[in-house]
Amino acid sequence: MKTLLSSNTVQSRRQFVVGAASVGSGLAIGLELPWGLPKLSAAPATQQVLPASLQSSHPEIGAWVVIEPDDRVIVRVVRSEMGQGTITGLAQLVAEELECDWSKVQVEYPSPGESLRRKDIWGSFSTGGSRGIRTSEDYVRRGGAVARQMLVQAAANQWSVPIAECFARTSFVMHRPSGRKASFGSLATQAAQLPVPDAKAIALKDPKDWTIIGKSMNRLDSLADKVTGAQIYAIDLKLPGMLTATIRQCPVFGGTVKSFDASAVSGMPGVKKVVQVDNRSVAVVADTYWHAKKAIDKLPIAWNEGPNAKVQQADILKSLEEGLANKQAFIGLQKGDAQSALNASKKTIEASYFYPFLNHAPLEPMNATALWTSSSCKAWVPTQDGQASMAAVIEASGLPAAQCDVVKVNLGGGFGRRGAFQDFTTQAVLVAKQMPGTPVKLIWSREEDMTQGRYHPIMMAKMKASFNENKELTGIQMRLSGQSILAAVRPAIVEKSKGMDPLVFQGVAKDGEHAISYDFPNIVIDHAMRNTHVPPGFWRGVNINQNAIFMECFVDEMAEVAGMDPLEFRRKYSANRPRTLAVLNAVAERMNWSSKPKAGVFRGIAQQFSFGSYVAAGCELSVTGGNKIKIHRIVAATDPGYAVNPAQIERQVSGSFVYGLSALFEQECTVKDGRIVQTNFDSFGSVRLAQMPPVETILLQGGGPSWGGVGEPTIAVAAPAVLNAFYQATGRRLRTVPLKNLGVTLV
Amino acid sequence: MQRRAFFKNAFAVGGGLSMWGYSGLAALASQAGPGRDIPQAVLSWANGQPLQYGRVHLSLPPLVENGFLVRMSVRVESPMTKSDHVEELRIFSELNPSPFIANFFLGPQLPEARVETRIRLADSQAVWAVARTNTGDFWCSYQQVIVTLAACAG
Amino acid sequence: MTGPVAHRAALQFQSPAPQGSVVEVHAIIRHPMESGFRRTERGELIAANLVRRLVCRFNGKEVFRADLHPGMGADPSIRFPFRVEQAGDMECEWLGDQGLTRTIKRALVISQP
Repeated sequence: MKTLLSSNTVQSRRQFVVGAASVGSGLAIGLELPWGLPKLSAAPATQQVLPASLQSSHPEIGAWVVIEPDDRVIVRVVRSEMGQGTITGLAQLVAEELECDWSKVQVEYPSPGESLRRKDIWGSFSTGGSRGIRTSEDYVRRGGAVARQMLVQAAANQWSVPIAECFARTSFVMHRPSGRKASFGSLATQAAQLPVPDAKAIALKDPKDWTIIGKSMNRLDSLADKVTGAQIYAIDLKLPGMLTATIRQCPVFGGTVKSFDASAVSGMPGVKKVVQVDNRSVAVVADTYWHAKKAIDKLPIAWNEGPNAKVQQADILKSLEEGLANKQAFIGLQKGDAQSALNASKKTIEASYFYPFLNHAPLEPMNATALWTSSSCKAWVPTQDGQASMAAVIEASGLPAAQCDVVKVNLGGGFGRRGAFQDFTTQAVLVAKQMPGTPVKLIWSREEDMTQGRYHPIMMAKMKASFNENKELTGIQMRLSGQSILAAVRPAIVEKSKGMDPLVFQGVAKDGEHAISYDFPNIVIDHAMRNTHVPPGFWRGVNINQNAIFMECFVDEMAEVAGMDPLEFRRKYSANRPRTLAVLNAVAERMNWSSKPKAGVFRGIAQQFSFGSYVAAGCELSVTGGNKIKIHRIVAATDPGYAVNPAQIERQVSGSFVYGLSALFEQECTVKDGRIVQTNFDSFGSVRLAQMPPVETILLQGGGPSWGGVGEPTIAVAAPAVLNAFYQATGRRLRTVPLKNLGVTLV
Repeated sequence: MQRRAFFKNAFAVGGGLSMWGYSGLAALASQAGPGRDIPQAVLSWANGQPLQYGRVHLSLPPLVENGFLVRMSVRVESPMTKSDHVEELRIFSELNPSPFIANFFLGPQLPEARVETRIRLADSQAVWAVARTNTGDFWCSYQQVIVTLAACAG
Repeated sequence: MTGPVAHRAALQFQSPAPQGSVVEVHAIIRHPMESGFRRTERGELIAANLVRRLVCRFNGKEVFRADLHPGMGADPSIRFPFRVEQAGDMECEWLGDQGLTRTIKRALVISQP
């Protein structure tokens, strides 16, 4: 099983228990395993079984670490790996303090049920907001340190020597005076019996002594399997006796099922059952996905589409435009008096921008597998948040929490679709509940995935800047107009902020982890909230994507009026911000900004602070025919304060640019008759290998009181760098996204 | 003002505990009491009367997605006789904009002091259930609920 | 779910039911339970619109009462146990903001042994 297995699996991996006894005591995964299992370890991938019987015969040493007699180190991780490197990074943090041999490290996923039984001892499962490493680095390191201390104590006890004379190194405990040593494996059993020391009281290693943290250790998620296609994702799961279902949800958000005629399809090949899932969706359960899909395509369903069926894209745009001019708005940032500066302006510039709805569109469409009986419910979910999936299972199953559990399975892309939103999990359980005792895998078609998303919110911006007679900037007004994610998803935060959605200001906020990293004279940034019937969600980077374009493109416009080089202008207004200057300068230096580029090559630059990290990107491109862009290179600098795995960070940065540039050039979701128009990748494209430029990443570690995130911050800065370079090449300012709508393409 | 519930009959936090008679509970005293500050709204209601931790069995899902609609069931150990019954049972929130959720008026005409309903939670927090008997005693319990979306935003 | 519309309510318990048994009374009403803390897109406070009270009377005598506050979920649903001692009418009255009053009745019949 090429996935991380739950730690509460028992005995044989071939054992499968259906029914009452299963969930509470720890379920065997019981998957059909025609493939070998890779070793999820630091060594290059080989085909070896990851043993399941970790808890009963090999007790843990503190909650975070299990040591096998053969010295294998099993680290517990509860965040979700989705290629971003979380399990490797977190394991590095533990391994550093544990002082173990990295080549012996493996990772296992405690299940949410296990976590409940252990009173949330591993903390939050939520993997989003670029939080995985930065919000757990302290307590996971302590988990490793606790285990190390217990192992050292066990050795000291065994040798009857003072603990101060012993130390741990590379999976051995050694006694300094005598030179005696014992392997972790040989000490594990005794160590596990010792009382667990207080994690808060333990001293952590000095970063200058780190040998694992900060190094590009081999990743623990099986790279080889991903490349060969051998990796098992949730959509690939096979369970004994499993049926497959597919679903059709009301194409208009807010509409409901009026009626459907199961008899029209029940006789079709492979069809087992047609079920209403909830008040807005119907599913067909069959022996295979193909049979289920053929049936649901033929199934007559009548919808109560509701009033939202009348909503058109033009209506939404009109509402946003009205918001740009409306008197009322929520103020996110205000310094000085931008209005007076505007009134006294000798030269004013203005620009309006647009950013569309976007879908996450991971390559693996939404899916989940569930098995329901009257006394237990288990779900196998490709999830960014095991606890959120568990909450959905508890609610949908109607069973007490102790009788529920979730197995986290590899996701074919998360990007924010699979954490906060567990609609697919709830649906899988509701379908499985109508087929008690039978595992049901629910797979959405690509069309369902494209049209039933949780969309990046649509947003417009109007930027205004005023200058004095010396062409010096005197004030800025930034008006955002568009949808709030939190108003729909976390209304409690909006209520607390008196109606304002603070997240709208990511990257240009007043303070905090997404604060603006310029010091402009007289600035006001506000938001006219214009919500729509389209359900919003957290798309990788969230609101930094459009805010980076709005601000960083306009910064270039302001620089031009001021008669300054775009880099110089940025330096001037971040003069008191050394870490912002550092990333800007790193990019500029690598690109040789001070010397002219080759003929026909043009440059652009952009920077932002978000998720606690400072990032900047520079772009070199050429334009032919006025509208065909060839990007020659992108240089990115990122300063997350501390880096756990530099190679992994580089990969994240490059990957974020693929996602961000795809959005810039190719992607939008539009509304017609209340429905999302784009149903597949033909109308929602992606940048290809041939189009993608080489990305050079410069990693800075500026330290500081808190760690910054890596998964998201860089995604936002490539687009404005490209747009700024395009202006240098053509004299045209591009202010609406995607560029394909302006006839501009990436070659 | 009493900030921590002192307990005559201490037992660990959480729902789903088995019933017992309410004399001779010393055996359970080894388990820690709540160790959690009592919400001001609870203290105001008790108005100086001691709050005893126990007898109230509160059951909520430990994990909920968004907190909009959370199933809750609460039961108080009581013979519900004329001379010994629960008169009033109040539910409080630690972190909602308003601490008040519901007040239930019971009495000996009911066979059991038990209510099920659905509540709304703004954030991960503890929900408190406090019972007042006809003899003026206050019994309380609480349960922590994690709202998984709260971990998520941003 | 806005305005002074008649909010659909339901009252459910087992009937007929054996003498001496305990039935579960379930009262529910469709209602948005607007907390009074929410605001419009323009930042204006949306007035509270809450169901405030449920009173249940059996043969005219109050047997159960609930005062409801903003922490109650939308579409308030309340269950409590009731002993079957005599036949009669269970009447549940919902009272709330904007003049809400909604009464629903159900007969409790003692089943023959």
